[in-house]
Amino acid sequence: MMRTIKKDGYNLHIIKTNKFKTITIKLIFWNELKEDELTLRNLLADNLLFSSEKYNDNRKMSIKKQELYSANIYSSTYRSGTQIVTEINLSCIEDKYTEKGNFEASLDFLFECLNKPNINNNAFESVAFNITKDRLKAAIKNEKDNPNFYSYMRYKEIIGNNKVLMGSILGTIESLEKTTEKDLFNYYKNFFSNNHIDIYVLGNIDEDLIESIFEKNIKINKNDIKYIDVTTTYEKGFSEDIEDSKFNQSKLIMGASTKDLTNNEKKYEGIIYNIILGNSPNSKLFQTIREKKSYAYTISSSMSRLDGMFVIFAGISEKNYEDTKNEVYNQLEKMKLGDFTKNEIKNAKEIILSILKEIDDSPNSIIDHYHNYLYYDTDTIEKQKEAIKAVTKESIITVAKKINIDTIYMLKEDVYEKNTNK
Amino acid sequence: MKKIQINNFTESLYYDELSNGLKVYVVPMKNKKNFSSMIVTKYGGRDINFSIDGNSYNTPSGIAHFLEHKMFERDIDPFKFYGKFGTDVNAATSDDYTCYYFIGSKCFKKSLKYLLNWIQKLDITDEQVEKEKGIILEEASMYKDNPSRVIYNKIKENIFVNDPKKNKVIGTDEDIKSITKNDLDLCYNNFYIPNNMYLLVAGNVNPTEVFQIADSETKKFKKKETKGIPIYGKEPDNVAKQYEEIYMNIGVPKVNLSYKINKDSFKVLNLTPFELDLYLHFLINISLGVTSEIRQEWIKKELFTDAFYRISEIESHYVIEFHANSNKEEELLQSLKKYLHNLELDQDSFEREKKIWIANEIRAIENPTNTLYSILDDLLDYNCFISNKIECIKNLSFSTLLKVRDLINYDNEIIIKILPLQLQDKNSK
Repeated sequence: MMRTIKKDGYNLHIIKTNKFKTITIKLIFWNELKEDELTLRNLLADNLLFSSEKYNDNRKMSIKKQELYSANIYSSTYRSGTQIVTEINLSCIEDKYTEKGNFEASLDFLFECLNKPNINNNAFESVAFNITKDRLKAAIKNEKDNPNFYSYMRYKEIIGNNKVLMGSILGTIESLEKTTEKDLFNYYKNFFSNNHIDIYVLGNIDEDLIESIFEKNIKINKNDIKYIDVTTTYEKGFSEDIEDSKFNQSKLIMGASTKDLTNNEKKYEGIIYNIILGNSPNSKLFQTIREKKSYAYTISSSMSRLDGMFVIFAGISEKNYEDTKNEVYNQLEKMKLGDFTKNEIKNAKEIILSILKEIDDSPNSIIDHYHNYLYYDTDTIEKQKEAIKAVTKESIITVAKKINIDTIYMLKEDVYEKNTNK
Repeated sequence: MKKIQINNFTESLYYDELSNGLKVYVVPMKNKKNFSSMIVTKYGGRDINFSIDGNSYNTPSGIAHFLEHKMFERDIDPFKFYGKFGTDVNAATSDDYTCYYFIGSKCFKKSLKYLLNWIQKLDITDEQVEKEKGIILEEASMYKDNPSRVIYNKIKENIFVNDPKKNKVIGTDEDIKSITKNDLDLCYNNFYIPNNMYLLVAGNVNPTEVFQIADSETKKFKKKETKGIPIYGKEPDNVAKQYEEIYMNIGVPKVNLSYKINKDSFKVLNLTPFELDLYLHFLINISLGVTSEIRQEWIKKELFTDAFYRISEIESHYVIEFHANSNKEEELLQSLKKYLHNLELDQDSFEREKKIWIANEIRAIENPTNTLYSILDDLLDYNCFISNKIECIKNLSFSTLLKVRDLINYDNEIIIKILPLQLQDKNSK
């Protein structure tokens, strides 16, 4: 069970368990996504873990991590509904398997990263700063190399009327070029005060010791941050776009807003609908478009409660574009007409029940579950199980009737590229 | 059923060979809710040429992967069967093996019985074979857009002269189109046999029960002495093609430098294959990993934005690959080549490297799926499970590491570059 302690400016959540050989610590910094902040946010997370006051270049930093039995410390920044989230994660091995004092030394290292960055004259140290800047620039460029990512980003741009849903969360090259070491330092100074902060510690640990260590090392004067709705959605008329590319395979995306679904439908009936239609190898889309027609290797659908959108994604050849599209419409129609069996419903429910059961086997899933329960309006595991079991055929048909494709986008293959032998 | 403790952990491995030759490995993990099981045949993308009872056969590239797809063709197919319990099921084909696995938390016994029976039969029609071609060609098309995948395949193609590992696991488009039901039957009948296979299980299971089920469900699955014997040919030390440029739709150029190294070079040291693998990884990670001086220097000179290395092997040779995303790829290559001939190593780094590998071993047994792959890697690389890896790691010596360094021969190299399409337009103008 989780114990939550309110501290100055953050919540400390302690989950004691002896199921793992590792101890997992996750600091979650989160707030409303603002486009102009993305560059700084990504740079900061990278800089904090790249070097510090004591370990003032990346080599020294890496040596320290190795000495701590390769303490795994990493950050990730991602969007979750209307929120931008930055996580700093530390996973290290329990002292029993390494040596006495290794865990506390790993914690000291974490606090060094957070509290004592590599600063010169009120600015982040230039060498490290410029390296992280280059890395971010390369990451922004690389996003366009990935046809799945690129087509999905273009799709979201077409949906367009809600800015938070769009684009890359890495920020733009233009804003990156303008950002200086001083800007990043100013951003750092207020970063802790300007974010909601939740810290999770999971593993075979001494709870009182953890509490006192964090109390000593993390103190924050919190600014007043407002909470906004974490979910969003969009509304638009029908559009169909085809764009040329230099890729081998065409990517087809067809999607619909879920604005007419109730909150409960987004959480439960919609999830079951999604699995039956397109999110399992037994689904209608997989069985027809892949297995019967051989049009695709990848075909799946996904439902995002937080983004209020439903999307079908397929990797196809352009010559099968019209047929694939028509087959998708056929299957959507079948869902509306209730042309699916009790067994299909039961199997879809089993998938969710199994995922819920397996949460307990992974430190990250356990932490994510608690965090979503606290802030993203998900229910307890028990309540989720009950609600999933209670989903009926009629309620799925009700959802099906509210899902109407409003956006079609295809990133079209290049015939010349297709014929080269790679 | 034999039992051996894994390192100093609470987990143990239970293993044995059944009378039909199927080797079974089980790691019970009491405090987990889920379990994972995998059946593996030592038959992969590399095994396209083979002999049976003295007759030799050449089959199309990509056939092991094609067969993996067609194994899903059954009255109650695996997706339907495992779907009932919300259990994940899938399969994968590599150069060296094909595996079928499930990961679940409910109805273990039924799940295991199905897995064991599933691989005992191939029952397909010509029509079903034809139908699969469209799906596999789309899969191949998807991989052609993935630069990492393209470079991985090119390295194999250009480094190996005779070894069929030079072929893509998925096969060429032409070969995929040419595959027939007869081809598939031939390969199935000679490689999907108990004495060419492993059963691996980890998680919340009872080992005695696993052995009982494995035994009773494979009664009709008979050992076959005249199984397919792969023909790899003798691989020379030279490479097939030294240099190649490929243009793709990417933003930052990718460059690879790989060396082909004959394992005989290290014979004088009398090391076990596991020890030699460790020394090589230590050597490369100390000299080129995140804590090396040279890497910091290259980063400061902006010679790359991202770089990593990989070591792979066949029976006779190692392949050491260096990968980088780089806008100054020529400068990086020259600097790297020069540096490799003069690697500096120090004892502190060596001791830290031991900690890294000890930590890897602990993390390898943290969940059922990782555990299976950790066992499988050992079986494929060393033909047995090494239960005392942490002890082996602690016993490595710095002086031997220096000897390994001095024995490496960098004569046989390949370079592959993946460059942005815009450069091709410029170069052709």
